Amino acid sequence: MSSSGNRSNERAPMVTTKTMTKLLSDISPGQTVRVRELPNGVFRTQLIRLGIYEGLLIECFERLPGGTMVVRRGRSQISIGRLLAESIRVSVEDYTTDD
Amino acid sequence: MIDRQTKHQSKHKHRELAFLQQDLDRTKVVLAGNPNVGKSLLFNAMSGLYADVSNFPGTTVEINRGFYGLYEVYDTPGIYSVSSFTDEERVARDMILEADIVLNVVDGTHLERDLFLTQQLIDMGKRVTVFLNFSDEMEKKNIKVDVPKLSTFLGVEVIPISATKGVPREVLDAALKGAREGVQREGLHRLLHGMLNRVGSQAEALLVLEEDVEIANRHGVPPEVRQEELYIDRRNRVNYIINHVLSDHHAQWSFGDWLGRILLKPLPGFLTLIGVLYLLYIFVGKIIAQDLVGLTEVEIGKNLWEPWIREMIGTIVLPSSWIGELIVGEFGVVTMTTTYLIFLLLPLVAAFYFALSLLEDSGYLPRLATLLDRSLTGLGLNGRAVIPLVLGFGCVTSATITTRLLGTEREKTIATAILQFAIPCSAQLAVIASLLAGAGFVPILLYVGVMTTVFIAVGTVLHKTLPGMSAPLLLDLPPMRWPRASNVLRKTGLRTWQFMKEASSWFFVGTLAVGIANLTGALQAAITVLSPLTTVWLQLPAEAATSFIMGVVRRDFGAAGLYSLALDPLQTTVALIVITLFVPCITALIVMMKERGVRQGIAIWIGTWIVAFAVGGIVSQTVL
Repeated sequence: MSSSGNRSNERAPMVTTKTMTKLLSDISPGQTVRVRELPNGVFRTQLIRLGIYEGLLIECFERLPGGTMVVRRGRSQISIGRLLAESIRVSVEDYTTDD
Repeated sequence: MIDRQTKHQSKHKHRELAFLQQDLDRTKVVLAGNPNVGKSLLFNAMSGLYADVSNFPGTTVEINRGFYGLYEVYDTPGIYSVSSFTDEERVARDMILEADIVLNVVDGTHLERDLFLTQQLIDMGKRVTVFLNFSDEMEKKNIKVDVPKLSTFLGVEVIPISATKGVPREVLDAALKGAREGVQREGLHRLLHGMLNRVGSQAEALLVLEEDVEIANRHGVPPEVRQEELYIDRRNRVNYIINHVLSDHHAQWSFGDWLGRILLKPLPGFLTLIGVLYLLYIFVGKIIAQDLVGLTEVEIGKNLWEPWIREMIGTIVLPSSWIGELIVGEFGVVTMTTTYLIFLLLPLVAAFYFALSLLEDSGYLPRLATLLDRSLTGLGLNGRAVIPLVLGFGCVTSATITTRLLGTEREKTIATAILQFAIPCSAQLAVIASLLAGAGFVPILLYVGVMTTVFIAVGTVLHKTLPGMSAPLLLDLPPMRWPRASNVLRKTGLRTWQFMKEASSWFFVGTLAVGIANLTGALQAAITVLSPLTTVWLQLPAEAATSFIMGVVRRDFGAAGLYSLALDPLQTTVALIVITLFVPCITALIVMMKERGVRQGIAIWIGTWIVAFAVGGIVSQTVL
């Protein structure tokens, strides 16, 4: 488990070349992605409080059958239900880490 | 200590009034932190044995108060931030607002998560000292934190501790003495001052700016809409600090980390769940319900206590008189009730809460919630519902209140209905376990099968018929850790005591009511009226109706009544199915009506009558 992406968690410009946005629910375990867009509503502030917001890097840690995701930020792990994961946009960048 | 107090009092010349001013003299210290960061251990270390526990007004949230020298120390529920998303948060928020000093306990292995609250406490302008807990674990895992630098960034003392190994008094004293206001970002500081002249304190000013409607209303000002902006600003600040003080590039994976990951994988996850349930059955169902209770209930209760008390009371009143019947008769207040409460219920309830506290403190439940999220979605719930549903096996009444942590009204209704229908509480489960364990394997399978079916059916039907959508899961997974014996035992003791306190009074009322009904002939009349239902439809002895009637008072009480009937294993199963599905106890009903409204409460209540007798009858007609 490398956590290399997480130390460089400062905000990045919102548009970079080599960027393609996807839904968080489509990311496979081991991939590190940058959060691009959060849903509006009650979950927005709770996600921010847990450290998931636009511009930050998160790692997909586990993806359960049925679509429940577990993401990792540093040493924190957060479970996200399928519907919520489908409403978070992320971008896959070319420095994706693997073990 | 006394010396210091006297000196202080003579200095202020209010010695005569000292007994009145005790609370004014004491400095209020509040322990705050994320869930499972070791606050309670620190609280125990500070307050010693003499802590009192009470419920925060209007909630089931427990607060502990103790004394440390001249300081009055409060333990608060674990929270991720000071806000008002949940009951726990509201309680913690109000206590933090009242505090003179906040001791913030953070998990050194989870700084990213925990510093958000720390920074918020500092932003509130509170006098804070940070305890960096789990310093031994950090060392083992090779997680390095630059403590002096962290202290400079935050502007408050940061003291590394290992709460499980004890915290010396000098360290506690230094923490309290050194508590001070930390570093606020300049922009925020200006913002707070703009609000400060409209509300009482900086802390409240911040909460109003963060859209806390309750606090805003208290001061008659409109809440601001800056929560998101302030949260992002704070999160950025925390990330910045973390980048400068934390180095865990070479962090080791511990057994707990590994286990935490394994439990999220479907196959090992479900195998573990089966293993946990099996151990639970062995511990509660076999060792406690059969071996221990067999000893306490029969040997001590029936053979020693009951004859002895009967004889003692017999010297004062005639056992065959009506008053003798009420006290020491078949449903006697001191015979049956005492045997049942002390020798049967107490060991079982304590065992159950012990197991529950173990699961809670280990960090297993949130992983179970993640694992079962998908399955629960089919019932219109999400993984979070695991918590009230598991708690329901302890006490359905308090679990009904915890349904508040679910996101939508729809989920609360579904979870409440499932709790009232298909989840037996620990007291009931105690009786069920000991009756079923004697009945054999097939009855157990039948009972569990029927209950699971009803569980799924209730959820599915409500999910399909109720309008709207359920909220998705969002849950922080705490690290897996070995539960601390002291904490688990304390929790077990506390919960068992509260449960028994509550159960006992209703139980006495119940036995008395049934005793009177028995004497006046009302019980006989009810048995006759219900007898077609009991004897023909359920194929049980007519007296089983007594249990059903007692079950209205308390669920477990109804099940207890089955003890005295001579039932064969399958009849026992049918009777237990009816009793489990049957009406919730009076307290559960009252709480349900309070939480879900009278109409919904009554609807669920009537629903349980119908389903209990319908399902019981169907099973009876099929297997008997």
